[in-house]
Amino acid sequence: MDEAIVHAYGVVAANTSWSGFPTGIADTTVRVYEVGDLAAIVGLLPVKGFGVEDWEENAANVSWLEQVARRHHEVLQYAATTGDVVPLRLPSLYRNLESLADTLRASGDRLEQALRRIQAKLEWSVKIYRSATDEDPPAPAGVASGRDYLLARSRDLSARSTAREQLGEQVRKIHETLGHASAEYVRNQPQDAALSGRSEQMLLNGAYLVSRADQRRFLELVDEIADSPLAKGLLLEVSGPWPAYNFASDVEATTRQVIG
Amino acid sequence: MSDAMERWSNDQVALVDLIDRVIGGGVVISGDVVIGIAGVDLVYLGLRLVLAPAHEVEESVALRRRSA
Repeated sequence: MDEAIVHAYGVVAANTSWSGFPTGIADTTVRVYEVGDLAAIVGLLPVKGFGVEDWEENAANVSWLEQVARRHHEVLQYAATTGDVVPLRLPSLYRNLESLADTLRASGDRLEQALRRIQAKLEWSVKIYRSATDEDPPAPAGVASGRDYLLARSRDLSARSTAREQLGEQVRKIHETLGHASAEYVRNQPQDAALSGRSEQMLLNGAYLVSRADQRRFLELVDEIADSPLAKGLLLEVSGPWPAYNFASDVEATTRQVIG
Repeated sequence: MSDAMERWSNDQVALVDLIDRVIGGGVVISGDVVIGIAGVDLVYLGLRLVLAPAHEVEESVALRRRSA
């Protein structure tokens, strides 16, 4: 055990049968460790390469983080499609299994609450981009005098601002409509084109906690909205189902508080 | 779950989506002491700086402070 550190992927209810996990971080085996009514999905990672110092060293190494994050996500993705799991964000390291057990016991009430919150639900992502065919009109050209230019420019700016406000209102309505079809919903910061790889401007980065039973209805609603006038000038992109990352965020804060 | 219920735009999850959801906010527990790895938060915030206009980043930092 001195050579290993415990990585916790997520928290599940005890006495549920889990099998067939994909290979975890550093090609380690993933298993379930039960503590009372709760259980953690865990892997034992080699301290050499994945200890606290390695995390500190590699924190600025995006490719290292990506490799770890992908494995972490794959395990949670499998778990979420199989049953209910409270996903933990990275890093999620415990010195040993006893230390993890202490955490699970100390924050048991909050973790059970988190499990109830996401019970039989999954997260869906809906992003809205400004359609490439709906770009701002070109700047005024061919004006005679400075005064004409200023007038035209002022009209142009005003038109752009109105168009932007209108799109913003459409996006707000779509987010609300999808929210009403969800148990919970949240609006995250839009991703920049530099990282999203899209040339279109992102106007909405929404996450929706949707009951498993309502998923089909939710997707139909997305399609309906995409075909409606509400989506004029907009592109909708849906992805999922995701583990409920956006709806378990207070779990770490709680464990921090309880244990710290 | 039917194929029709899985709406992935790509076969592989985009790194930016992974960062959005997986990285940041975690904890390390060594014995009974909780260690936050500041570097990971900094990477997260650094990417956020690229990701978002300045006022939204400040908001994000404030939110993270409140939740810490």
